[in-house]
Amino acid sequence: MLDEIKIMQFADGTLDPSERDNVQKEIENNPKYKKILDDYIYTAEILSNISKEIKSKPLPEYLNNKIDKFNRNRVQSISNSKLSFNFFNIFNIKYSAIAATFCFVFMAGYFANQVIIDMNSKHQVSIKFNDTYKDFRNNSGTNNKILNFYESFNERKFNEEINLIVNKLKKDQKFEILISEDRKASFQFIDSFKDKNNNECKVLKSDKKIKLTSDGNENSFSLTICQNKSYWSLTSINIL
Amino acid sequence: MDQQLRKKMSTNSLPFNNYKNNLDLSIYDIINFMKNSLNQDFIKSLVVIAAGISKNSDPYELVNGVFEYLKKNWERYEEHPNLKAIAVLKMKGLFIDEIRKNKNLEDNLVNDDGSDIEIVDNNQVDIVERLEIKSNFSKTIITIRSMGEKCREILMLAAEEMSMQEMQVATGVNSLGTVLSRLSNCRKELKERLSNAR
Repeated sequence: MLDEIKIMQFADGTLDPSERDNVQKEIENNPKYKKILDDYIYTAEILSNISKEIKSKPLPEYLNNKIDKFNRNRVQSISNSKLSFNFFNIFNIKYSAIAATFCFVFMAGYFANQVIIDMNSKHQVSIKFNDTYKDFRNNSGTNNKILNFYESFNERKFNEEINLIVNKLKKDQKFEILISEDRKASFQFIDSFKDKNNNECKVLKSDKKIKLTSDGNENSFSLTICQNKSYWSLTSINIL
Repeated sequence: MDQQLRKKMSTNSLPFNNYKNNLDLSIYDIINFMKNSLNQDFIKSLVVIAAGISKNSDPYELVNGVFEYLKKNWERYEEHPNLKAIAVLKMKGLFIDEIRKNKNLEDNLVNDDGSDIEIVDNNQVDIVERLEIKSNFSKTIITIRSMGEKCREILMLAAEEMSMQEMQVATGVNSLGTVLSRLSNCRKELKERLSNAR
């Protein structure tokens, strides 16, 4: 006689692996157990669906505001007490290597004539421009372009701001966001995808050309942001 | 704070291994290391569970109450290994407080002859409308909310994909066996009720 709880655990995938084969055999050989299994699978599905449905709705404004305020204060308090960290050197953040690499592959097929600035890699990064690859950062470590580029873009500020609005963004929606302490830029949310770690990522395209680099050129660019444990952060800047 | 964070990172061996050679982290990276966070995803999970616990009251009010509580006591719970279960326990407490408050109110509302004054509950919430649930899901949530307190709770904890251990803490029962058996019975009851409601 098979315990119904075992059937439920089998349906949910939480059964001890050592018991799985035996339970599966018993279920296959007994239509009554099969019916019980189907019922558990059915309830698991409807519970999952109702959870997704509730979560798909936006929170009331007053709750959203409280969450924003709480997290702003938290970030501020950590920021104030964390002077020894270097917030601004995004190119040395190793953790986004995988995501950025993935973005490179993804975006390469998405846009033509673009550069993906891999913020982590110490390897050479090339620009594909008019079908010709040019070195963007060479192996000798000359990376002035990248540093100058970054001087005009405050990652910390951008991350703070994007976390406040990202969950409200709808596809193709245009929005303005601070890219430095006092400078706003207009973007459009154009696509989303999942990276290889199954983190959700979004592609934000600049609505107009922006002068970001020290050479004075205006460029259109897109930003890729990815979510890691509920927080969104910049993973790549892509000049279009 | 720096030392605390570094200590925390060093104890989270897996992620820290990726970071330990480079501590040039942004604020959000540091927050990502922290196990607990009062963000939208967490709060939405609580709304799902509150939809079961709150019976006829507004789930957002319960969530708001627990948010305020956690915010006020954040230093205490920031590193709690099972924050969601703590939040559920608090929501249940808030819900019981609300019932008690209403009960006391009702006790005082009697006619001159001692008979109860009929109270129209203007605060009773239409959960489908409140949570803007699509019609094809409305039957499920209404059915769940028509069930007993224990079933409402455990079904929504299961909907939130909490582990059995988390459910045990959140429900306050003594053994995992009780959690499993309660969940099994409640799912059978839900299936039966939904079939009968067709």
